Amino acid sequence: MTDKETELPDIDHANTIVQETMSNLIDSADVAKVYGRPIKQGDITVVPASENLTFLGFGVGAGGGESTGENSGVGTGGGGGGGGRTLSRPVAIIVVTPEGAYVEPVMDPTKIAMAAITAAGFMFGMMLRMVRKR
Amino acid sequence: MGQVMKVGDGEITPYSRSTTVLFPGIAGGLVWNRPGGVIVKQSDGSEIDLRIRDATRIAQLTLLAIGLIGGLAAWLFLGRKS
Repeated sequence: MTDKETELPDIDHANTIVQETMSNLIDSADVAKVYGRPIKQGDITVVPASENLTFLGFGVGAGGGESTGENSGVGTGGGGGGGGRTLSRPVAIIVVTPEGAYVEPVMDPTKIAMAAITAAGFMFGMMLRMVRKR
Repeated sequence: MGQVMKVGDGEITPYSRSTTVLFPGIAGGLVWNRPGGVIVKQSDGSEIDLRIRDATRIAQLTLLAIGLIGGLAAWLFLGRKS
């Protein structure tokens, strides 16, 4: 039995990856992540602002085993996996002019239309169900 | 509070609102970061807090609330009569 056979996968490396990924996740809560760089055009400066939703989950594992039977052997294994996503959408634009500053909201007509269709569908469905019951 | 940005004679300081959820026992989590507003410091020294409202979310929630109330009203007025 050689040392190589009983050597477990590099757990420290996996831990480093986990810590780095978690650190990057925490960093995404920073103020700088939701505001873009100021864009200057003449006297007017605009600063874009967006909303970010980041989520992720992952896991790593490793193990080893030894058999003492007739067909004895030693084995080790490890693995990991994960997944995540970042959703981002513009929320508003901050406009700074020599006269003052104001916030210009950014509307998403598709999302609003989807909400309207859902609301109308729910109301219509409920009415239809009640009328049919009669 | 974010970094102060120099804009013309004044300066603006953006700030955000963030929600961080780290699941116990699981490697992973969720971060919801959204703009809160900006504090505008004008050349005369006065400060204005400009709040950022998410117009799309307000519209979405309003419409969904209307749908829910409408559905509830249909159940109350049409369902109870039968």
